[in-house]
Amino acid sequence: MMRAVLLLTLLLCPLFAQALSFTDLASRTGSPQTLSGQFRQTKYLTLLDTSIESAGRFSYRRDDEIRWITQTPVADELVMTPQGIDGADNPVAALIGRIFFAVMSADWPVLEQHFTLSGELSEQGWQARLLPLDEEIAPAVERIELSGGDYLRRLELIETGGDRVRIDFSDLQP
Amino acid sequence: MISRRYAKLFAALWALLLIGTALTAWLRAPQLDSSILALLPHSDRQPLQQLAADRLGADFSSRLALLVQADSDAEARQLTQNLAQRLESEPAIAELQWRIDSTRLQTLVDLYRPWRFQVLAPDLRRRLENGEFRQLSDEALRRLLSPVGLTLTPTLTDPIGDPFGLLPTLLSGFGNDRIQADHGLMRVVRADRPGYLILATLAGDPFELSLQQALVPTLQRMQSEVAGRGGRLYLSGMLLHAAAGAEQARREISTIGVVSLLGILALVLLAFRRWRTPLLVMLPVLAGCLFAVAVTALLFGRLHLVTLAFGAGLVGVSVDYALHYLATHLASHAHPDSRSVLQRILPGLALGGLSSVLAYGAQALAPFPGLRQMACFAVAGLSAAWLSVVLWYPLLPTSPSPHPGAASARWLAERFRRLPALPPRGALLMLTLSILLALGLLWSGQAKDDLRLLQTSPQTLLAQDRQLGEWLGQSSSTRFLLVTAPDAESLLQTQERLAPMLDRMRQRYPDFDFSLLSDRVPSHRAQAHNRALVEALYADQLDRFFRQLSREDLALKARAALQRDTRGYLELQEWLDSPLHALAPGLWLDTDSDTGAEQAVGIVRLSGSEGIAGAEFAAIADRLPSVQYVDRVEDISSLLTRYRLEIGFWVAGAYLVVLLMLVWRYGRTGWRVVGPPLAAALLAAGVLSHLDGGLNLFHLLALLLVLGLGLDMGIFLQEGSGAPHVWLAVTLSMLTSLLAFGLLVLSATPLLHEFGLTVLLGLGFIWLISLLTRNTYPEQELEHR
Repeated sequence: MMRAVLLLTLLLCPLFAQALSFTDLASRTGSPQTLSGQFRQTKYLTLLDTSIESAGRFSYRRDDEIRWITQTPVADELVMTPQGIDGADNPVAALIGRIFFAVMSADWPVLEQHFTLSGELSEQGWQARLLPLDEEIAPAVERIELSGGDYLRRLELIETGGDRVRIDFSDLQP
Repeated sequence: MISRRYAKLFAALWALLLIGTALTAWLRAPQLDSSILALLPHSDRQPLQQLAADRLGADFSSRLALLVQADSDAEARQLTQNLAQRLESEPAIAELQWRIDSTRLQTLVDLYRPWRFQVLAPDLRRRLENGEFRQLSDEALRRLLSPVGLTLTPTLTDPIGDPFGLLPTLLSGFGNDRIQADHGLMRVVRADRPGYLILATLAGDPFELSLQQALVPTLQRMQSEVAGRGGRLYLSGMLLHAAAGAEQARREISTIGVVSLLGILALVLLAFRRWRTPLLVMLPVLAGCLFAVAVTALLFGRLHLVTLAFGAGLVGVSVDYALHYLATHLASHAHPDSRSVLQRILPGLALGGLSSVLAYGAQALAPFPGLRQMACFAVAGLSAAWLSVVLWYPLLPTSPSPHPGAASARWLAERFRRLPALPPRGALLMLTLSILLALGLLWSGQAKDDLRLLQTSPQTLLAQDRQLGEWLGQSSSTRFLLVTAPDAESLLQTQERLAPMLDRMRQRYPDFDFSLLSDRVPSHRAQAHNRALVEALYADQLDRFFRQLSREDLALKARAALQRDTRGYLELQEWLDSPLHALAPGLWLDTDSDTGAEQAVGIVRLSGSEGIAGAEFAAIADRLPSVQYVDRVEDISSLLTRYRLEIGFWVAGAYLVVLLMLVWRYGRTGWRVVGPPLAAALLAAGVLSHLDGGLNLFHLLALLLVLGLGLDMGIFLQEGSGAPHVWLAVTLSMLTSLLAFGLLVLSATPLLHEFGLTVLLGLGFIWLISLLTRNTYPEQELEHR
């Protein structure tokens, strides 16, 4: 029995040594019908050399929409759909909206079209780094870093201009 | 005889003139033109309107739009890339636009950034006027907080220089909501399947045959390739219409022209039973064609393909003179006469020639360049054919043997004698009755004045244009508002007064949109007003905004930026000189110096206005004295109406003049000459007014032709007193005209089809009425004439 386990581990080992693939992530993460929770966002603005904190909650319905409700410091509600952000007149923003939606809903096949992936998978969870492939996104986004377990727990988006936004999720409920 | 020497001299001179003209024209190498626009009249309204329409038309003509569709995004993108790369190497294309590049954004930023406090998006200005300061400030904060904010275009984010995002709001208003950047390509958002756009600017005139031949086959090949891979390639542009028109005209010249020529030759051969005769008949026809092409090319520079197609039909008329000469020549064997053949027929020939030239020449009165060219072609061709018969035929050797063709003349005369003819009273009664019937038909009939009569394009092309127009929301190049002002400032101020009116219209018609110069460069007055609004916003919100970001110290810097960038004004000239002008063409009309007075002229472009009545725009234009509403299609249609009425008077006038001329020559029997064509023309008009939507301008112009042909027939019959050889000539002439013109009925070009139908009906009626009302001379009397 022990041998069999050892053999299995040995056989699986190369998998872990390999680069993380979108398929791995797809099998590791859950994609529930609905998900809701709290978020806490820190946004660093290079030009102002200041960080702005904001917090709120979000709710997500698969293939449908994400409601992003900021409660402090100013009330705001953003609705994202797989098509992009409601009211985004800027095509790049619309594209980023689509990507954000894909990130939030762990829609790895969509992300695979726009990014190359590196990172690692472990017992506790996973960490992924996305580098843009698109000449559309590349001028704006330097990289996106994601980490989580069954669900996404932290998202960090680093813009080429030096601005960065970090979002931590908590109270996740499917 | 005036002497054969003079006759020879004149014949030689005419031959020299003919050859000289042809050579000169050939050396100038005339171009073939297939432009439908070239057929259109120049509106007699304001020259500025004409200039604006011409400019927009030329701009529209040189563009070509391709929409590549496929079932999946990736496939559509791949096809688009493939086609675009192939088109890029095409020398017939001067410029190809298929990627969305960032240089456009940079150009916008470069021009507008210094003026961000005084060039505001119209919507933002309204909100400031409403005092929505706090909302605007909160929105700016939300944008900063948004995880996927608008901060993604780093060049536009400037929390100190522009904390409230005035510039991004302005620039996003210049964007196009129908086209989205997708993988660096232009995705057409509204298309029914994934589709990407490729825009080409042609390297030359779309009506140049060489350009068409270089590009159109390639495009058609691409279309079938894309279809072969399950996709669809939509093509739209003047080039395709021009090519289709040229192709159609070429096809028709070669089929209709050749069939009518062969038919005429066969008829002549059948009637005269001599191989030499068709060749003889061809001589003036060829001279006529050659001279007509040469003169038209020399006068107009370009030869329109429709003129050539119409000219192909002219063969049938020019053959008349030859037929009369030969028929009389034939009869001269049977009944020798002291007079030469020419002397016997010259009065009739002269009258016939003159009336035809008058009838065709009258077309030149219509303000349609196309019709003028046809008139020139016809007059030159007929004169040349007439001169060739009169000057060359007498010099031809006459054969001493009796002509075998005399038999066909006698046979025909015999047939005619058996046909019933009405006595003079009955003939008059019949003419009166048919005229009354015609008037009744005309009274109950309709008239149609539709620009579509000039439309020669195939339905498939028009459908593609409509579909692309709907998806892309392109500005119309035939419908616009023209604003004239003494200087740029008052031009912009007028446009600013126009904007709210058009805006209300946009709210009522969701598809409608408009494009104004003053949205790009506001007047000084508006810029000053905007500046005051922004200063009020800063005074009210700036400190609060930076407090929320916990950087109160930055408010001072932001205020300094406002102070620094609110000096002077953005001038119109600056915009005109920038690359942005080329990206939004057709808003400014460069009036050169030839218009005299200093003035500024702007064009307000309209899109998606198809469902809106012209009266609504006209009502807006009426409220501002310096604004005019222009609708070229409507203009031309109303021009068609006006000229239909005018030509109606001309036809009536022409009949009257000819009647007087004939009464002078024939006395009381003049009605026999004028009656049949008059009754026939009216009957034809009556019938046409009940067919296919009604009577139009082109029917009337064709009735002028019918008049010319009919008078020829009447004059020859009257001159020849109905002798058998005259009936032979008249019948042959009628049949050849029917072959020449009637075959135009088969033309797919509406204009030519209408001509053909009218001539077919008119000549048919003339022949029938002439036959029934003919003078029946006793056999004996005839022999001695």
